[in-house]
Amino acid sequence: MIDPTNTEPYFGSKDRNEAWISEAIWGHRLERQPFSALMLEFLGMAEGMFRQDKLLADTLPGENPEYVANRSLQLRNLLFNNPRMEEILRNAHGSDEDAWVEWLRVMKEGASLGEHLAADFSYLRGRFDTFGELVSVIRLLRRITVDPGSERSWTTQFLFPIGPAALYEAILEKGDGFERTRRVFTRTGEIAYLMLSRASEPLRAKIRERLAPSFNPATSRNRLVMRLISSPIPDRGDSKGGTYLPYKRHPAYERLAEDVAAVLCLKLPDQDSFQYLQPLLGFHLYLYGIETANCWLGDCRLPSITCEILAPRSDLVRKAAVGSYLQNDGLGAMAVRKFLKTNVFSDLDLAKTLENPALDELAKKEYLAEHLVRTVSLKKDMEATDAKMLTEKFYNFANRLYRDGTADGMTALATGCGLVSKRGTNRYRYAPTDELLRALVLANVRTPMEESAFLRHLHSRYRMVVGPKEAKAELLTYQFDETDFKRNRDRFAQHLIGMGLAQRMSDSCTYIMNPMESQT
Amino acid sequence: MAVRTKGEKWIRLLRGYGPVADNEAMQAEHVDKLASHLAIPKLAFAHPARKLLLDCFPPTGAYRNVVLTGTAGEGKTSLCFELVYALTNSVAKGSNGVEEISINTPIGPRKITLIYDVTAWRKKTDGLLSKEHVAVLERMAESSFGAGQEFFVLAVNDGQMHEVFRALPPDAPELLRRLETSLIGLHARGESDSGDRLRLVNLSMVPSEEIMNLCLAAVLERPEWQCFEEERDNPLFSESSSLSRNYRTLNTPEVRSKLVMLARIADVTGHHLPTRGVLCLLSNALLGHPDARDRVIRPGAEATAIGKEGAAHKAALHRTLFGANLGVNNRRKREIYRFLSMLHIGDETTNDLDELFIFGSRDQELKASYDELVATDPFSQRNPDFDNLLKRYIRGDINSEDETTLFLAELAAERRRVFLQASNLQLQKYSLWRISVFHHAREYLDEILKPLEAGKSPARLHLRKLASGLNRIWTGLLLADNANEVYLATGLDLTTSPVSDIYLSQLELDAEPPGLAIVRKEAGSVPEVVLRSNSNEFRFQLTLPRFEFLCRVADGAMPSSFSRESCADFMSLKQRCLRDLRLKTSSRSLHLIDVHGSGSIQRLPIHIAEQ
Repeated sequence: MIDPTNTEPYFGSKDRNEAWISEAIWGHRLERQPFSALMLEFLGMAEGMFRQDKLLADTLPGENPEYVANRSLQLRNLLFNNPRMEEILRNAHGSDEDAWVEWLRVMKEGASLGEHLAADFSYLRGRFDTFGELVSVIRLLRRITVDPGSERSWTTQFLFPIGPAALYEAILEKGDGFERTRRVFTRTGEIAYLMLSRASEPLRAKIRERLAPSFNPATSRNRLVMRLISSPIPDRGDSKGGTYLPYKRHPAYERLAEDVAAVLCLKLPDQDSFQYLQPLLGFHLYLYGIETANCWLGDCRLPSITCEILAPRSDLVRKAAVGSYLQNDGLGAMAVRKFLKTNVFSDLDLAKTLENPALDELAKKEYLAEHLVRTVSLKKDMEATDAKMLTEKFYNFANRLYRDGTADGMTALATGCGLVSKRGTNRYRYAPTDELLRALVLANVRTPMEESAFLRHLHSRYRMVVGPKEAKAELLTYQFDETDFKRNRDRFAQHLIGMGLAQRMSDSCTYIMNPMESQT
Repeated sequence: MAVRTKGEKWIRLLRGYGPVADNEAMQAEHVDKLASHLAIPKLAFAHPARKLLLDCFPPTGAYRNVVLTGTAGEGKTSLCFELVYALTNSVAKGSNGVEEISINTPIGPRKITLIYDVTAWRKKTDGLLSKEHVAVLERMAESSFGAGQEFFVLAVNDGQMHEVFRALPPDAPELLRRLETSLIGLHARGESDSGDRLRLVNLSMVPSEEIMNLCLAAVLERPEWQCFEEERDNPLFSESSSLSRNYRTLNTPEVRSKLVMLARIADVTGHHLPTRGVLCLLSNALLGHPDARDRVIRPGAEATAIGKEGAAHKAALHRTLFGANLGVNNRRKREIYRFLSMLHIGDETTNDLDELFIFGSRDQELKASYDELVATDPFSQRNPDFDNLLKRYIRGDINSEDETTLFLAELAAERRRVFLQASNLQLQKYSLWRISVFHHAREYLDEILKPLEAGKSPARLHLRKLASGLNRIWTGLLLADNANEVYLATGLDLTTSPVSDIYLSQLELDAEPPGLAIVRKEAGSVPEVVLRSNSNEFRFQLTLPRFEFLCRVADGAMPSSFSRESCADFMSLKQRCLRDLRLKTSSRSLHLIDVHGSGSIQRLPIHIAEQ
């Protein structure tokens, strides 16, 4: 997987990165973002590609797939930068004319539409019979605000993706215009898109077919949104790209694509499948992260994930779940070290130079500093008296960079998707939520599957450990307790039965069922 | 322990069915041994599935292959023995768990191989089935999907069935895999026939109610109970013994029918009560005693000692029936007690009932009801100390936490006693189901199941209540509590939005065919709700928990705060319902639902202007 033939170097400039280490291992980049932004960014890119007729077309690491995202500025002003609307409606005391005039004036002063659009919302008068009708549509749309109550500014507030016009990019106000921000859409959603674009073609075709209707501008929901936008198509920003996923092939790509395709094939009404895709995207990105790290450390399989199904009190399962999380959490930092050893410090010329007795310490340090710039595009000038000190400082720096960037991003993914939580304790551990379990059942179960077969499947596919059989194979003897893991398995079945995802036939037989599969 | 009298032998046998050492009486083989040792017949009845099995081997010779499945103690082995006897008129040999018999039929000789002890039969090598056994299964698959004169009966509990197929070698032939998928499909879907040469008889599908009736008769109608007359000098059988009191209590029509009712509840809540579980329940109900060494009375010295103590009320039926004499672990192991504890009988209550229990004897207005319902205690089941506790409670003398706990536990036990001995009429009059988790169980049994059994639809009133519950859960709005139609609505973002007020369609209860109906596929199965729109329909099982949830929501409970699990269940039903009824928002306008004060709705159109 990490073989040089399976990767291609980054195509773009690395000027804006402090160094190119995590990026070379996991891509540019996995970083913390509000969890909801993951799917919105993913869908935004997919929609942009759809318009270019390139939805899920094959990509390579060395390419730069660019797209243009919607901005939908009028819509966003109406929804999130329109605080006086209700007050104006009230104060007009039923006079429609007064309300329109006052409101249009207020919007002219307060709305922020950048260089290309005028703050003139009078087109709405022709579209709505009354001001009250406009207000009711805006109220309706405001109800599907993503993460309601978040303190984000109006330019980074989003709508549930009910149509292409409701999918727009995160921006920040800058002077009279706007600039793109990579703090909310951190490219992690684009990484998810790129992963899918490198899955096998039959899967991509399936996903393409099922995803495309969500980008159809003619649906009633999208037309409802478009009623608030003056032009026949939403306004858009500049072309964007620069996201990098290092590997041509990776087991995580196919795994993600299979699950996404399975959920989309359930033919759920409207956008209901997004509800399940969201946790799955996070889950698979996290798996990609730890699997890649593990591979850099010499084991190209997923590391095992011991899951506690929320227990009333601490037992050995919880200990194992905490331990398993900590272990996997540590893989990344070791992978970074390994990467640096292989790609930076194993260089023969470097070794020769550092051992050259004819050179003084300063010269050796200078050489090393240049070498770091060459190999990992290090920007920062590090104070050091000699090469040894610089090496140490550099390792620490790389570790910090990883901790604040990719590691933090992975934690956000794992907690966001519901795989990891602190519920009932003060430490992170694998304790999948009911929502994640539901998504996994929907993605993996076609015909009724006996419980132990399902547990085996979860193990062989995601290396998730829930029941005693898998635990025995994965855990060290002192971590393993048959009774505790049996209870864990019982809780698992109990949760699924409660959610209508399983049916107990007898003490010794429970079927896991996908309730959405019973389509005739 | 030397067993002497006839009565004691009978108790010794009955005890063997109880919650004593783990595996006793689990297997037909064991009971046979015990029964022959004691020289009295084991408990027996004609199993309801017997006909299903024998039908597969008609005199014409048109046989089928049969897989007989069910939980341990369901009677699989006994049924195989009976089949052998019915076909050959000779007793099964039963060696090594395999039996081969040859029958001459009008269409030629037939060979039948019965495998009724899979654990003994299959010897795994490296975790896989041996070649020889794979070959047997292969022959079974060939016969199931092809022709041939050889037939098989495989008796296996459902967990083992999966294990056997899991232990097939990876290169197992295609036909065998087909057998696997067919059987698992039949099992999971609750069906029985695949083609005309393969039948799955799942004993767990036999209604628990039937099993309960048969077990009650098998236990209570034994001639050995004459011991109460013949051996009355034995403290175990004296009139004041717990056994005698419990036997007489259990034998009243109220208690017997109550147990049958509970068995029905088991089926409609997704629990099946296997024969062994029911026998265990009855055995413990009669013989359980907290003072016995292993919590079940053993005839002999122990029984005598316990009898002398005179604390029969400690082992009263309303305690032993729920397993109060057993340890928590012992109860938790058994599905039947898990089921009973899930019902929480006696743990819930209403103000009216508590008032009656506590002040009934002291209040003129309540006196008549109290005498009818609470004071009745023909077999001295009530804790004689309870009145004293009650007095202390009323006076406010109960202060310590221990005593409070004791009082509450005794009050709960008292509720259980009254619940058990109440007649059907009393259940209704005093709303006694309110002391359980299923407040609406009586409505479910009497107003939904009963009419369906008579081939009629449940009354409109109840359909309206269900419709109203569905409306409130599925729209998240406080709609009228007696609806005439089911509103199908969606949220702008998700169909499962907590508030779904975009109107899609409405299903009229009065339409032809009705938009909402309750039907039952076959006797004993869980009824189904059918929702119809245009020519599409969507069905879901109306289990008791779902019915309870709908009723409570219709009565005003908040869907998501009452039970998150049930709420999620109904959300997933809604998703499927909207998908299967193929309902879409109109492309010209959206209709928002606005609720009037009365709970009726108004539709506010939002036009989607053409651009």
